[in-house]
Amino acid sequence: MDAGGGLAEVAARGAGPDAGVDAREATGEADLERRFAAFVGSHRERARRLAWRLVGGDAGAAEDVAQDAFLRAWRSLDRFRGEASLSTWFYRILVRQAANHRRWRGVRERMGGWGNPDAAGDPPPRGDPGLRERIGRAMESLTRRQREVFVLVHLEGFTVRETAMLLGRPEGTVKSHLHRALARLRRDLSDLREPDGGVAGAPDVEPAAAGAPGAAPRAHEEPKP
Amino acid sequence: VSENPRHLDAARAADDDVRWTERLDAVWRPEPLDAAGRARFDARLRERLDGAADRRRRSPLRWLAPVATAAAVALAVWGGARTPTQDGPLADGGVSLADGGVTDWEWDLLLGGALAEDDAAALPEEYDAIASVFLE
Repeated sequence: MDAGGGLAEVAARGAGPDAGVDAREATGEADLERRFAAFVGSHRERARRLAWRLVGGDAGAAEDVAQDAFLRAWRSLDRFRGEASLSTWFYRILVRQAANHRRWRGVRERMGGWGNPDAAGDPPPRGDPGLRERIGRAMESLTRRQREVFVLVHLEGFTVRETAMLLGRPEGTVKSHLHRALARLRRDLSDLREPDGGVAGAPDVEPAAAGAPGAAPRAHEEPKP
Repeated sequence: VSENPRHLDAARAADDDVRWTERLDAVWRPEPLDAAGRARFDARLRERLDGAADRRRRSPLRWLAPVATAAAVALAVWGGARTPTQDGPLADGGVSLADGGVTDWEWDLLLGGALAEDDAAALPEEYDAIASVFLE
């Protein structure tokens, strides 16, 4: 992230047409710009990955959702003093944007003829595409809340408490969704086991990749800001 | 470590869940962006920020903010002039704006949301989704 220019510079231009005469105001805006550039740099990858998982593996849609959430973050940046409160709010927005996207994608598909406006520009993930498709279908079979809770806690490493805050639901409800989601996915994807289990169709991605740099923290770990 | 077989079973099951979830996590994830991908992402975000700022500058409703502010001040002064000296309702049952009791939503109602810092932020959350269907 080019914190010195780039987005910071654009953020300055986007800050408001009448801004800049007052020195204190300018200093405040410069601070906002730096915060925003740093925020995008810190959360770009995680936001994109979370969106990708929530919208069902569509790279183009995931980028749209992540960018929409960043745009909203920029508009509301000055309302948040601390990074922690901003990131909580940001992921809440992102989860909601992803849900909106799924809803409207359903409408577009039903209406037909609209095509898929989300042209994925990124290379497809490595591994077995058939397996990914099966996982995608299994994820689709979950309810919205089950899917969100499972992805946030088990795949993105948010704690149950954080997830409850993000979704505005009691912790007990989150745990309940989590339990049902895991049970259902384990039933639907029962052959997703360790490679030494010798299961046909097992993914060709080494387990070590889960701990690779950039990998999501586990459920028992605190997510990195 | 508990010797209770039920606890051991539960621990084994939990470990199994964790391993299974790790396998899923390894497969069900997008490729991380490389340097070029990050640059492309940032450039697009930059473009959208620019576009949002331009739209705000070109908005035909921008003139409303100063006008609405002046109108609000005028209303407040007018309301203040009509405030009775004693506590209690106005003689004609009108609403006083000068007693500091005007809430944010009342201002929004009075000013039609024209003082909102960002026009887009004042729109319903579904607007972006609707716009993406009908305007793109």
